[in-house]
Amino acid sequence: MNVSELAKEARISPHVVRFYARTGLLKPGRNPSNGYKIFGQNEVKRLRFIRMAQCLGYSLAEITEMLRRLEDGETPCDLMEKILHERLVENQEKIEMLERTQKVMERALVCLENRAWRSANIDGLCDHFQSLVAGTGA
Amino acid sequence: MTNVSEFARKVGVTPHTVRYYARLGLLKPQRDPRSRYKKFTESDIARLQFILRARSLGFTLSEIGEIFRRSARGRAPCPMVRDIVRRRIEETTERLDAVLALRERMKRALALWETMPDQVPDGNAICALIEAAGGSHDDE
Repeated sequence: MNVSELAKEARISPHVVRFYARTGLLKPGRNPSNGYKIFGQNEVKRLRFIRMAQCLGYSLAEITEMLRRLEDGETPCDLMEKILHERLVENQEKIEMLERTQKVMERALVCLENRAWRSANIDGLCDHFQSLVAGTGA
Repeated sequence: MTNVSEFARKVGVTPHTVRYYARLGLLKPQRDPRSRYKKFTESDIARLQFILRARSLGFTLSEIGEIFRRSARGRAPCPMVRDIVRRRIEETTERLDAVLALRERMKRALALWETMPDQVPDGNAICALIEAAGGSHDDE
């Protein structure tokens, strides 16, 4: 298949297919008559692998390394698991950070919906911010 | 009245940050008439503390500038601040949902991989694994 056929099958933009080919994630052959890229069944599988791996949060550099291992007949499983364990820790930190931010914001909103905060005076606003932010240790 | 570096130290930021905020007009230091150096007063400290706290709540510098402008015109900036906070809450909710969904996908993938012996190096098998773990990716 050509670029647009592959893109259609994978439900992604042709730009993305060309980008993957340019960065070596996909390795299309060339149509001898017109020089256009052609993709075989193997490339379809590679593309599916790339998309799914991205969906799990792997970076393109990591996916490149996994594909290289597969090409060399090695298993990328250990690497993939190791990365995922690290990612889970980072992910947890991010969740906690976002939840903290959210709490501060929700309290700020309650405060803003009160009549207490009607002044045009920056000093008043500042006091409110101070108590809000101090309250959570953020 | 203090100069840039002393002022920065008092509030706990770098002089670079102070100069940057002054350049954006968020801080309005006076000029020493003789040396032309910037001079900061107590009210600049309050402003800078306000900026830092608003930043920690996710306000952008241009939003903070707008709050200052309204305040300077004697208008309560509250409705605007309220809108910004509401928007930030929505954005944070979306980001949280995305991060939580990613966590579920990662956990599912790891759970799947643990139940399987190390695969022979076969692209198909791994692809199938990721696919199973990716689950409802296409429906999202």
